[in-house]
Amino acid sequence: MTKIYKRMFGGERIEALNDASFSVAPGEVCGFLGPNGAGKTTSIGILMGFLFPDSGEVRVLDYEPGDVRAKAQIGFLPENFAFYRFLTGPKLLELHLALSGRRVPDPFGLIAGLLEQVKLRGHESLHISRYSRGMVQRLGIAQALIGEPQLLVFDEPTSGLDPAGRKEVLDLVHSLKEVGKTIFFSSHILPEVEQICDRVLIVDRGHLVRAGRLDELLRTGSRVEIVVDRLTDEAERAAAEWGVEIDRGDKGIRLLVEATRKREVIESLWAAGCDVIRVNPLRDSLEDVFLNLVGGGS
Amino acid sequence: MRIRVLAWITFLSLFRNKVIILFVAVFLCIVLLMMTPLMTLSLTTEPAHVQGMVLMLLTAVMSMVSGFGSLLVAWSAADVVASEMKTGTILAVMARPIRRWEFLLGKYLGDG
Repeated sequence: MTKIYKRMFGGERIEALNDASFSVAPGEVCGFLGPNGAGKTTSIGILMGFLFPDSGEVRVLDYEPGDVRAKAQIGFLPENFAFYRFLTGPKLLELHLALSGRRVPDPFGLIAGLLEQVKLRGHESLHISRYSRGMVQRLGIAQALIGEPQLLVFDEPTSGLDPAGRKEVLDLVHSLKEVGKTIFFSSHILPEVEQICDRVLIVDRGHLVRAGRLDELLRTGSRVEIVVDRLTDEAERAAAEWGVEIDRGDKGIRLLVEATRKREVIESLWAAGCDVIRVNPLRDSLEDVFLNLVGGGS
Repeated sequence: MRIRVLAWITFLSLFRNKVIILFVAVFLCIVLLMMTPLMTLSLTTEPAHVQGMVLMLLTAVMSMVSGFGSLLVAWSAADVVASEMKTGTILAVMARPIRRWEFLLGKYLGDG
């Protein structure tokens, strides 16, 4: 799909999306990554039927985007989520339950269960205007879940949250993953994507630059890291001879060696009186992959 | 059902708009001020005079309601969809299985 924003006067054109094509399989947690202004929110707006693409075809759960049959099966959390601030959490969920068209025998039980799930029990009488940012975000997730959706679309669910709030939201996404929900979420906070996603789409300046399973993207390299508690002079001299890269960090001394030489190096380290704490294959982090693809600039 | 819910939430939102609250308060004050001539009436006042005064006041209040009411509706209606877009509340609502015309009709009914 392609989306171009045009100014009515002045002829300015901004290509928000350019021939971006992707799909998400049922039950998958798909991270949609990109720097600010890459086209993430535009793509999500098109998927939800808020915006119309200039060209291309989009199908959401086999329907046109914006079709009420598709929207009935989607739970959506917008970026910078805003609610009717004069309502309380349970009242807002009642409103969204009514708007979702879902009929349940015990709506109050359902709402109480959702508030429990997002850890908002005990705040039932508090107006949303008095909620913290994290509480608003968790309430946003509860409203997204109220229609029993198959697909959850979260736009930057952790943006603007402190580390504790971010962890709470990520834990929630984790629990939704475990019950088999399909989750499509945009973010530019890479470690969290690395934690929970099965697949990743990376978009930059409107172009889809990479799509694939996380384990394929973060492929194992040909080197391993050997972490030791200390390095004797003898071992250090030997390491220099082997051409081993030494990195002294807070978490121990890391020796980066070719995988083919690891046995030889470990045996020599032991012989030199060094204790090997762990040996790990070196993998690219998602941050490395991302920065390589988008050139480090946002 | 969904249209009714939208109309209801629109109606509730109107009473959180400070400009509208101020508008209604000013209107009520003016109506009360207009009622002050009634305090000059006494039991000895001629019934025809009382009747004339009440009729005059009623006409004045009705014209006020019509004038202020139109202004109030125009003011609130102009902002009813725009404010949802400005605050972002429209995104969560339109993500529900609601058609655009249903949303607009709900807003129209709630404002009316």
